[in-house]
This record gives sequence, structure tokens and C-alpha cells, in this order.
Amino acid sequence: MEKKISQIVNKARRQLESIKNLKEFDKLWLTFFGSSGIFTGEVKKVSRLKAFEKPRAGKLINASKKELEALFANKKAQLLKKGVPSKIDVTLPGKKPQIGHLHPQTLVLNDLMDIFRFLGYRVAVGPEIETEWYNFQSLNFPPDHPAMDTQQSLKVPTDKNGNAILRTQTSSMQVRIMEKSPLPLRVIVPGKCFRYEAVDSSHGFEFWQLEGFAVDKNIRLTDLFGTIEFVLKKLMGESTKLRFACTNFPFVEPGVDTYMECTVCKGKGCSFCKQTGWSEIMPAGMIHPNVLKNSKIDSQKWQGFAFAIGLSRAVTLRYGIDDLRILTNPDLRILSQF
Amino acid sequence: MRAPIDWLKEYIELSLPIKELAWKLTEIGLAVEKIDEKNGSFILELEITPNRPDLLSITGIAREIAALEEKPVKLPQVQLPAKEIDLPINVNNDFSLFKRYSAVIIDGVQIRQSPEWLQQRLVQMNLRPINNIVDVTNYVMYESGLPLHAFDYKQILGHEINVLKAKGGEDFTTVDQLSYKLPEGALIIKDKNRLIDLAGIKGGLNSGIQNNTETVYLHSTVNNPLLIRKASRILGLKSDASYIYERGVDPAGTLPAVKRAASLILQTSGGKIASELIDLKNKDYQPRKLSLRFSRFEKITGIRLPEAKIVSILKNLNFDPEVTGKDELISHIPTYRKDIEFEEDLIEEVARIYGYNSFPRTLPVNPPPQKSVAYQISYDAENRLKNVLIGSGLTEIYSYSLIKNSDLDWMNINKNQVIRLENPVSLEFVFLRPSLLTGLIKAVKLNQANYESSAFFELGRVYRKNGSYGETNFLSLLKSGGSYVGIKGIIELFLDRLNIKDIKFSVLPGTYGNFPRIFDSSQSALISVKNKPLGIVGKIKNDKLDLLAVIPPVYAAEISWDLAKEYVSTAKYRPVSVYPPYKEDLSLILPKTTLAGDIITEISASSLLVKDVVHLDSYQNTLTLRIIYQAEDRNLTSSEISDLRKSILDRLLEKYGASLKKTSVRME
Repeated sequence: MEKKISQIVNKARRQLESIKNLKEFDKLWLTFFGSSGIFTGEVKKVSRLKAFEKPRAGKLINASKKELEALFANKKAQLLKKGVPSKIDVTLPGKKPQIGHLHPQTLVLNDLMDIFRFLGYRVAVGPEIETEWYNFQSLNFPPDHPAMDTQQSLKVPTDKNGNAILRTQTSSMQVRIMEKSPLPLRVIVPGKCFRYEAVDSSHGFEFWQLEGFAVDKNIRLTDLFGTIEFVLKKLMGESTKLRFACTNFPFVEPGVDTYMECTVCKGKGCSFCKQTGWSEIMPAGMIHPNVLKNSKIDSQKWQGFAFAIGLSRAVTLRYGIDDLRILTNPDLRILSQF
Repeated sequence: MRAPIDWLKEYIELSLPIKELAWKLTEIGLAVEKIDEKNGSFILELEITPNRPDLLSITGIAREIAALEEKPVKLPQVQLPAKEIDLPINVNNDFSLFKRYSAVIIDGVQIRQSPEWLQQRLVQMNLRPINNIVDVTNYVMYESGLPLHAFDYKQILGHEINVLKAKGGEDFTTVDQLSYKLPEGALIIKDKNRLIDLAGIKGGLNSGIQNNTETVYLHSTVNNPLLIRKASRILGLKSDASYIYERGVDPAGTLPAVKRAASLILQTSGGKIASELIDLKNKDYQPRKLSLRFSRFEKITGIRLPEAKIVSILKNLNFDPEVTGKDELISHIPTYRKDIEFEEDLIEEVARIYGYNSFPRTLPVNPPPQKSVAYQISYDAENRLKNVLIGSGLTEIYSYSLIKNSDLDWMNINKNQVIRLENPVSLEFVFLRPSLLTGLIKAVKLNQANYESSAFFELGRVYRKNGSYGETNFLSLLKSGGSYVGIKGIIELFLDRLNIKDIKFSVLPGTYGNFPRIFDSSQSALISVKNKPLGIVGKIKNDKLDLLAVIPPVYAAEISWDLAKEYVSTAKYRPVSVYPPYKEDLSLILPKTTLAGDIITEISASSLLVKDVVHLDSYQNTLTLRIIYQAEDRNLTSSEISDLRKSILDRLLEKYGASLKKTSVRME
């Protein structure tokens, strides 16, 4: 009986779908609820059941009757509405579901990870509390040299693993990864960095970088130029203009700095780019043979490039944010713009 | 470094327009930060990298332009007259302190203002002219990159120059009349009795040039850079000279610098040479040999340049290249280029002068590597998580990892495990956060003026020490307004979407590990996964909110994301049963101590035929649940269901003392 009734309900649901006017509707009503209707037939069966079966069957019938009636009532209401459609003001604003916002830094990071994965890079992360070795010496920083003045570190008491500073750059992951990974490799490392530095609109003691490096038998300087161009055009738009300059970082040779035409003034010069029309965005270079040596890699057999994107900086450039501190400001009037 | 264009023109012919020159210099590694204009002439402001102290000089910059423009540099020709008299001087040098020491005495000078042209140069360099002797030493330093110092010869007692390391604690007064106590190891010069020079940093007041000075003792030295750097840092005393010395000077440059300065002194101050040229050195400084393979250049850069082009670039850099084999040339690296050590350094030299922007831009030719790397992670779960959270109305923030003392106090966190910086930038940023909740509560506080309620999350690192340092990723949520079940629902939702199983919410125990003690235990729960503590969720105590003037109620959760992530799994498809589900609503009367969660878990686990248990209502001691029964392979019969119901109710009564109030049946 249960099966039969659920079949009847399903049948009603199916047939109601194709009903187009009230005349057809009335006809269908009779096939279910008329004196010889199929549902009426089932109701009649209850009286013939044994006494102990009756309560359960009764409940079943009542429930399904309600359901059927509701189905018919709905359809009738629909058909009646069709006749006289009520008018609404379609220019009223829609009701937006209240959802939250991803931080712009997450949006840029996700885009960058997508772009780099497309180029065959893996994503890795590592410690922020770091040893002097991985942050400086392994990267060919000469001991106590002015090269370190640009990256003064925040210090913590040295622990038993030799951790003594907060990393000043995600490049601290270069030797960590290279000494433990099979070659060839391509990897990016996003993460937070810290420096002993006063806070202003373009500097912070905490900021994010995205480090990347590739090692293979034939990775060339031209590949570095091409990779940077590919990535920045995907991230900032195909019309992005770039130029490269020589610079020095202890852990690369040749060293490269990347200048991107200012996104705010389009190269005319504004306060955002300090009137130069260009912003430094991506320092890079061919990995220095000493860094490969420190990773126990033979620099005559393997070679590669490394680069870093100031992630926080890329976010400000992409969205035209004129102050780095906006990125740690939790004001919803700011965050809800993204 | 400032480089006045008209000064550069004394050594090199400039043909490029100023803007173009500025970019070409930037391209080859001398980043032009600004083009300054002073009295109608242009001055380039250059950022010189620490490896190139040779560019802290006008002739050094002229040499770079010469390489760029393929033109010769015209260095000043110095013809120093021979000595006319011989005044005594006794130099006791230590080569571990000064690798080279060059000096000369000039007698019979007249101290006065420098000539106009000399003053003009110093003004262009933002330096105040002092007198004709001191100005010449500064001029030659900027011209050649070699710092010099001029003493009043008569103030060098006993005519002795003793080169020493400070013992520590010595008093020293500089020429500009500032007094210091010297640190141990500072490089100093003593005469017979007195300390007369803080070498490489500042000259002494007692031996400096005075208006009545008649005899000048002039020296130029190659100092130990580490000692200069250390003393300069401890004293907080820097000078143009110490800046150059920290980076290293040309060991072959001291003698020419002394000659140049002496000849300018004769020219501007009169006088005569009164000693031999003193030149003490630990060895002869000659150009070093370094080879470059043409094939290596191509392999590293990706372009093949004609041999002749490579040779001519190196020649224009004064590297005196000599092709010695089919694939090799030998360069002779000038003494002022100590940054050139490796073959790769020579490759960079050729590449930068050729111009990085003349290179093609390519992508690596090999296919992407197949193997995983160390430290590899997937951000997949994080992104799925964040999407659920923003869909639940929460907004993401990133806050500082560094927090202040009062933040820790607010959280009642055990400070023994908190990591403290040794050199904080300010008192606001001293500790590495052990929790994300202070950042989140500040976000709610900041927004309460503009928003009736707000909700945030952060996924980020927290830090602890326990012998060694540890960093883990936490996920924390915080919501102003709402209810306990509201925030719990968000957690259940994302755990469900990430398919993290075996989750339990239980009454908060008296101690709950390292989580901040800001939760109201009557409305908070411990979350566990497979019986491991995962986090905490609940209401923040009102008195904690009062302390920060945050409007109650606020609900929050803090979860160990690293642990949760271990249990993220992929959902498995189960075919939808073609047989109808059978739903019934049970109202149960519970004893006071019985928890709804236990009842629901009990019912869910009672049979595979129980597909779901939904909470409909709780009122006083009555709990109303909807049980959905369904089989995959058949229609359930009413007798099967009544058997199931009976066994469930028996079990609930026996185990929890829960009794049935009423049943209502719904069918579909």
C-alpha cells in the first residue's frame, strides 16, 4: 500500500507539470479525487484492512492526502496567477546575500600561485623564526658586511636549533629547499618577513614576499627575463611595461632588478612612484655559485635563477593602494571593496 | 652618491641627454634615484650597491660611463715636485690594521679659504667648505674614492705615527669637537703621547688643521673594514670616510691619492714638499687574472655574443682581456674591482654593459620537473576553507605577528611559552603572538562605530617556545552579535565541506591547554577531532570585552589548522537511494545533566538505517529531533521502523534516562 501511494503521489506530481489551464486541471483533479479516482480507491481500501493495520494505514492516507492537496493547490494558484500577473518594480535593488570578503593579499597570492603552477612551479612554505645561516651566510652574505644594513633583523634569544632571528627575506628558503630536493626543481615560497625598520607608507617591519627559484641544466638569464615578464603581465595586465637593470644581491650573479611602469600615472611620474614613472617590483638574478655550493649542488652541472616579488607591494600596485599599512587595517569600509 | 654632471665632464665626454644617461646608468647597475638641479647644473643621485665602493667616486662613475659610451677617461695628470727639505716622521704600521699606508709632508702652507671652483664642488656634494687643506682632502676623496686625512705636523708629538687598536675606554675628541669613549678594537693613531686620530672615521681635535698650521702631514690608508664598521656602529659615528672604508678601498689607490692631494695643496696653499713619499704595503697590488669561457657566457645568459664584442666590453672596463684559447680569455681585474671574483662576475660585466634590455625574453625550454620538493604544501584546503568562511559572512584579515604586553595580559596566556624579541622596534610590537584572537577582537572594535555587527577570520601563524621555537597555523574566527550555535554552525559547516570526520564538541574542561583564557565556560566548548583537542569555540567573557570597550556579545573560535588539515579528505560519492526515506519526529524528555549531543550521537550510531538526525527544537527539558530512516536496497517496512525506534528508545532510557514524550510521523 505504501508503494502504491507513493506511486500515486509521483504520478500526480508528473502530470501536474504538463497542465496548462484550469480546464485540464479540473479534469486531472477528478482522475485522482473523483468518486472513482485512483486516490479515492486507495482510501476505500482502508476500511477493508484488519483492525491492527488500520491506524498506520490511516496515518499514511492522511499524510499523502495533505501532500496531494498541496500539490494541486500550488498548481491552481500558479494557473490563476498566470491569468493576472502582478506587477513589480523591476528597478528595485536586488537583495544581496551577506557574504564576507577575501583579503586583497589572498586574491593576489592566489593569482600568483595559479600563474606559477601553470609554469610548473611547486609551492612551499617554511619557518619565519630562522637561523643566521639560512637567512644570510648560506646566501653568500659576507660576514658583518654593509650588504646586511639594508636588511636589519629582529632578534630572538638563540634556541637549541640555532634559530636567532625573524627571517628578513623568503630567500632564507633557497638553501633549505635546494639541499633537500631532487633536481631539477621549480618552486615558489610565499611568506611573511620581518625587518628592524621604522614603519612608513612604503615600509613595514612586517611584510610579505614571494620567493621563487628554478634550477635545471640549462636555465638561462633570458629565461629569467621571460619568466618575470610572463608573470607580471598575467598579474598586472598584458599592457604592463617592464625594464630590467643590473643590481647586486650577494646571492645572485648576474643580478637583476625589475622596474614596472607605474600603474598609477602610467609612467608620467607621480607621488606613488616618487616621480620616476617606474616602480621596483621584482629583484632577481642567476643563483650565485656559492649558494649552489652551500646547497651541495655542482654549479658547473646545474644552474638556475631566483627572484622575489614584494607581495605586499604587488597588492598595493595592483589595486592602487597608496599606503602599505592599509593591508593590515581591518576596517570593513576598506576590506569590503575587494 | 652625488655625481655632478659638470664634474663628470672633466674626465669624460658626455654625449647622451641627461634623462637617457640616467636610465643607461640605472640599467648597468648605478640606480639613479633622482636628478637634482643646483645653480643651473644637474646632479645625479645614485644608489651604489655595497659591492661597488669604487663607484663612491666621480672618476669611478666616469669609468662606467666610459665603458658604456666606449670613450676614454681622462684622469688628472699629477706632476709632484721633488722634496725640498726632509722633515722627520716615524711610522709604526701594523699590516693587519692598515694593509697600505701612504703619506707625505708639506711645509710652509698658508691656511685660507679654498678657491671658488673647489668650494663649488664641495657644495655640489652637500659639504660645507672649511679651509684650503681640509677641502682638498675631501675633494680628492670624492674624486678618487680614497679617504685622506691631513694633520698639523707640529702637533704630532715626537714625529711618531703609531697604528694601534684601542684598549677600550680611551677619551677622544673629534675635529668637530665631539667627545667619545672609544670601544675596544677601534683603529687609532697615537703620537708619542696622545691619541690623535680615530682612523678611518674621524680625525682628532688635538692634531687637526688650524688657522696657524704651517706644516701638513697628509696620509691615505687602506683600513681593516671590519674594525671600522664595528667601531662606527658602537659609537654611532659615521663619516663619508667610514662609509667608504666599510665597503673597502682600492689598495693601489693610496699613493696616487696622496700625490694628487699634495699637488692640489701646493696649488691652493703654497708650500713645498718636505719628505719622501712614504708608502708602506704588505704586498704589491697588481691586477688579478680571471678567465672567462665564451661557451659559459652563452650557457648562463642564453645569448651568443661575438667574441670581439665580449673582448671590447671587457677592454672598455679596463679589464685588459687577452684571448688565450678557442673558448677562453683571460682578464686582468683592476685593483679597484675587488667585487670581481668568479667567472659569473665577468659574465655579469659583459651582460650589463651589453644591456639587459637588449636580451630576448624566453621561457625555460625543459618541461616542468616531475618530483615534489622539500617543504612543499598545497593551498587547496586553505582555499576551500576560505570560500566557506566568506560564504558564511566572515571577512578575512591579516594582522601583525608582533603584539604587545597588554595583548598577552588580556588573553591570560602563560608568558613562559611566549617568544619575546630582543630588539623590538617599539613597545607595541614586542612578542610573537601565541593566538590570533587579539588581532580579531581589534578588528571588531574598530568596526563597531560603523557596523552594527561584524565577523572576521584570520588564517595565520602563531608562535610558541618550548625548549625550541615552534610555529603552527591557526584558524580563528570572531563575530560580534549572534549566538553560540551560530558560530558553532560555521565551524561544523567548514569541517563538513572539508570532509573532516570524527569531530566532537564537549563541555569546556577547567584547563584547556594553550588557548587564551577569555572564554565563558558556560557557553563554550572544546572541539576535538579523533579525540585530539582541535580548538575551542564559544562566548568571550563580558568582562574581557569591557576591558576593551567592545559591545557584547562576541563569539569566537580558535582552531589548530595544522591538525585539522591532517584530516581533510575528499568526499566519496554514494548513490542516492531510490527508496523513499521515512521521517519521524521524536520529542524526548531529558534529565537535567543529559547533553543533546550525546543523544544525537547515540541515535546516529544506532543503525546504518538511520540516515540523519536533525535537531528541531529544545525547550526546557524537551528535545525534539527528526530521525530519517532510509535503506539503500529496499523499502523499509513499518515493522522494521518500529523495531528500530523501540531499540533506540530503550537504549536512550537505559543510558541517559531519556523518555519519549510524543512521536509524530511524516512520510514522503
